[in-house]
Amino acid sequence: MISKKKFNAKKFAQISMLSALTVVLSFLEGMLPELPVPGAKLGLANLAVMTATDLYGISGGISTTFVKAFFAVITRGPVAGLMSFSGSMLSMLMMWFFMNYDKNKLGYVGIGVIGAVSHNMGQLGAAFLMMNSAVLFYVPFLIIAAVFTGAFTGIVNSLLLPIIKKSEYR
Amino acid sequence: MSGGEENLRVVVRKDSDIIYSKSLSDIKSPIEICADEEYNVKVLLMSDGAEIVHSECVDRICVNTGKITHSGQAAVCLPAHVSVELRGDNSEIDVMVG
Repeated sequence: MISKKKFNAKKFAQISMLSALTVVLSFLEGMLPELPVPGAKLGLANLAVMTATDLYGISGGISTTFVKAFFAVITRGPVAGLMSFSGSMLSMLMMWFFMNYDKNKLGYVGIGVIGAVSHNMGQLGAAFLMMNSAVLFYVPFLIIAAVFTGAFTGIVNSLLLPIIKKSEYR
Repeated sequence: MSGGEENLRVVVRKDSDIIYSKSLSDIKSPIEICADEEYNVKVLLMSDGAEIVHSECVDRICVNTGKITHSGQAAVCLPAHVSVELRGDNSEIDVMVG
């Protein structure tokens, strides 16, 4: 049978490497000291998800999100896996939407903040369904923290992505 | 600080079931309860607030939240499905954000 879509080895390899990078960055982040806001994280692994979504659209975003969530399940348990998945999935979809909507207007920092805020909202939504209204206490803290962590990942990617895109390996 | 803080009630929930609920003014000396056996979640209830003092979960968000002392505040341990909340019976504040 002949597939209509041509298999793109470069895309396959690069999404695989970015997925592997989410695992490495998740691990690295686990070694960093905790942020002063309970539950807040820098979101280093989101750098790779954002890059994959930017370069390859939704397929890149979904692949990296699944690998990242799978790593969270095997290293930190099913609850952490669900938190990773719900946050990353919403974050990735929102970033993908706004990247296609108007990237030039928002810029990488804007996309990073949207990604981080929606990541935390996705997690809190899942936590709310899993638990009860007590989790909503964390909402304001996590939104404020996400503005800063999202700006950080956005700035890092605004420096990295133009280089990656210009690279001869692309 | 708004009025009505004297009638704080601490509510400990496991899943959605309330396993402990007591007015802070009725707590004369600190009480420690185990809210979850699997993760050994220890909640310390005091006359001026409550705190998750121990948990064997990975994230430790619950312990890092620290002591809660005002109406609307909460400490949550997701892996153990345990939440500790402070509610004010006649508090004018819905949620404290600071």
